[in-house]
Amino acid sequence: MKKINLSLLALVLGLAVLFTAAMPVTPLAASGEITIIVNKDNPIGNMDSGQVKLYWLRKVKKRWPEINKNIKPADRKFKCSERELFYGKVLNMSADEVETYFVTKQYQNAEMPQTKFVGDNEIIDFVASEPGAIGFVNASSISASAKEKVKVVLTIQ
Amino acid sequence: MLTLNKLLPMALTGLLLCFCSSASFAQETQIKGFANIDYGVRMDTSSTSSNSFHLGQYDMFITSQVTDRISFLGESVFEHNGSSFGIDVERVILRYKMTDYFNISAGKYHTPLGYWNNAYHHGEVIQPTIGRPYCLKFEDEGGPLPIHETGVMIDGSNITKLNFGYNVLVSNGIGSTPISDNNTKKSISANLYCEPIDNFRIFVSGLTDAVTAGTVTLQGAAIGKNTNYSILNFGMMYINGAKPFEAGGEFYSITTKQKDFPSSTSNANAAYFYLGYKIKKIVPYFRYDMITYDKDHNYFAKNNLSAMTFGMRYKMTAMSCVKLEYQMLNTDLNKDESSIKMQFAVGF
Repeated sequence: MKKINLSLLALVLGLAVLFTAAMPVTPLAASGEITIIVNKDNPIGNMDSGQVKLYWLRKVKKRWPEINKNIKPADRKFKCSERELFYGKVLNMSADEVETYFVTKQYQNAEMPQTKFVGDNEIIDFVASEPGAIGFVNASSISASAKEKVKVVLTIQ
Repeated sequence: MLTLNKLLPMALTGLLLCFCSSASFAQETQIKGFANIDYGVRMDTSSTSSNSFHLGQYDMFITSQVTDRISFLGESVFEHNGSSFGIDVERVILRYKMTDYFNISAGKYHTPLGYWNNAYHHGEVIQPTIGRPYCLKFEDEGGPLPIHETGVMIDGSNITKLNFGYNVLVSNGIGSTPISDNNTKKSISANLYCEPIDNFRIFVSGLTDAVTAGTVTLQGAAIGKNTNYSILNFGMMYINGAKPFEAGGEFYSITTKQKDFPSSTSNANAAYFYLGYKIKKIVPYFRYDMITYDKDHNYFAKNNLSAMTFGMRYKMTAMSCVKLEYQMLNTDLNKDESSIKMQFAVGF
């Protein structure tokens, strides 16, 4: 009987290892320059990376104090150099840790997780239309017309 | 003089007005779920053993940002009760956000006691161990505490640089259902906490309730006398921080006093202590549980308990993990028992 039990445990462990091996692995490489943007009507001035982390993760505030609107973090849907740089240099967290963090918050307090977009233009449009939004885009995506729609609060290399 | 019974309708009316005054807004609704499958081998002192697969709770979880200020959370669990599958509505919360410091909500909650009860609900993938500490077991698993309550709550967070927060819940109380109260008195529970360092929380909480004679207790026995029921809790927890270690514990003191006999006061103490250390995606951990009851307790069936759990958690992805545990459990009724459990849990 004990042999059967041990065999079953080994079988389940083996399945778990196989399942893990099938998962995509996120490489750590990141490069380029990103800018952190908020809505044009948000009165907040320049921010440092520590402040950006606290606001983007809604750690210290859940609503922007000056405009009393929900903080709405914008994220990239798929792995890209902008996201790698933001997670690595600003959040100091891995992609798994960011995902777990937002799901846990949603599960505990119904806080909506970050809104995810495929590209920079979508993030710029989202930040321009949502008073409480904060996002990151490649610095080269901030054209003259984009500057009219959003406010740049930090640039990170 | 304003009594609680007069204040409650006023509070609910205010909440309704707040909901009605909100501007139109594109709703954001998300449906998520959690599931787990366990396998366990159990051995007792008579050297008899049993082993089985165990289908865990299948948890459907809905959140909606109805407007900028109004949010909805619903959590329903499908589980087998031993004879058939059933559905339990575990949480339904309608929340109106005013500021970070003051929010009001109504619905069915996890009672604001301690840390674990509100940090980890029914989704096992988020929970550090297989199952909850013994003192925080759900009501239908024989736990001693009122884990779920229906009522009105105010809460706030991120107050001052020490990140103080609070929750105060007025609810139907023990012996009631989510749709009716079995007496006129309401249960009041409150939780005060601060987070001076990121992910390090210190907290104190409590609950007071009047339990009417004839009420069936959380452990399934009908009590003979009207009873004042109170809980005092305190503890601390550091988890998911920048440091690799995880540590924390909670202590609960439950006092029951039977009104007709002022001298008839009984006490039960319960606690757990958790310690873990993160090595990349693997976290070896240890948990100690204890529950002790006064001799001839006037409310609980006396079944002192202590347990030591050694385990390992392997996080495969953000929302999937495998846990393996060895547990030594000692209770008054069942004496020594040891078990090996394995769990595969996912969120989707």
